[in-house]
Amino acid sequence: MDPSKIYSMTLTQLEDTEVQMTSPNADALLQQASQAARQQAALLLLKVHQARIALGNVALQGIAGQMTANEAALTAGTAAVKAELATLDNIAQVLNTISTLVGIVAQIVPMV
Amino acid sequence: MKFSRLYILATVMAVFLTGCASARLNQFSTFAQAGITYANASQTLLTEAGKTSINADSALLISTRPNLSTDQRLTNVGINNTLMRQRIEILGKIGRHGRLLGQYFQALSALADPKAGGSVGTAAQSTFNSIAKLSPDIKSAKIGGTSVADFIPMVAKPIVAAYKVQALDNELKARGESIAQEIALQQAAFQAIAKELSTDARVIRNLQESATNNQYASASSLPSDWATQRFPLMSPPPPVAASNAAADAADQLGKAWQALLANKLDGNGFNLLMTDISNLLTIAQTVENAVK
Repeated sequence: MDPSKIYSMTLTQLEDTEVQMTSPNADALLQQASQAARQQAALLLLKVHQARIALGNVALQGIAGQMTANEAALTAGTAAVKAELATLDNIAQVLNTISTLVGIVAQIVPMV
Repeated sequence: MKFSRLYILATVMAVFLTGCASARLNQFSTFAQAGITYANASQTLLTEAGKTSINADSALLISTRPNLSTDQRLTNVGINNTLMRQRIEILGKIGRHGRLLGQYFQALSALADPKAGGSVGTAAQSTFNSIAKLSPDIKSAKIGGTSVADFIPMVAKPIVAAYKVQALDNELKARGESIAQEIALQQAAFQAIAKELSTDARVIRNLQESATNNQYASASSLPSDWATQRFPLMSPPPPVAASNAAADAADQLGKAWQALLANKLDGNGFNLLMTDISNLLTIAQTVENAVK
């Protein structure tokens, strides 16, 4: 079987087990059980929960790792798009500068 | 006569270029806005996923505590603390990726904004006005029936729009596939988070219901707000409803991105995307309020 399927099935099983073990029905059953059985069930519930979180963390870490590896491309893309916008603004700035310069020249040079 | 032909040709070109470029810019602008909304809403869900995870963990520790020895309590709270810190750190990394993606969409949106680069037209007009001061002939010059002064902004607009479309299309060519991969990673992350969020919410709900049941079964008198506490336990917890909203929205975002790449993003694609993103927004707000 595909390892990712095994992982997915195990995680689903752990999730279902934890939900069942915390259900009001399970709680009602445990209330009738011995103190030793309740202690054992409490420890088992914690182990199931810890296994679920640990397995979930491994999966999420795998995705987060790929995300971190790709961060540079994302940042470069943002910078490239911003640079294009800045270029447009620069064109306006150049034209404005020319305009100011021409305005000054117009004051000095007699009108045609 | 020659000027009239030139004027007609230039006007037709301007209208044609403005039409094509505007339609493409609108595609980018709408997609970018959808992307920004997705990034913001998914951040809310991510924060709530972290809170729900810790709340479920705490509720479990509290419920099992009476049946554990001091040593067992210390050992298990230590393990759970480590696991929760790991979880929050990982969610933080996923959140940072979402924010970077949001910043990318912000940049796309700024460039695709019809008002962006509008200063070029104004500046061109200003330059013309300055030159006109030097030469009255230029000031009174006409192309067809229109003065050159009026003609400048009309021509500048499609040029600016075409430049922006070219820049955006170049960006798609350069990073289209890698952004598609980033969106796919978002989808994968939220599929995994959805399952965890749903389980955590159900565990919390189970423990709350057991506590309420035990209060009722106990010989002691019921708390005065017992019925009020019981009431919300009868409907599904909001995070369960939210479980797949972010993954679905990321899926539609990915499809819309591919359509944008192929210049095939139509009204139907936008509608599907906006429906999923609107659903995500509503759910993110519901979850946020429920956790508060």
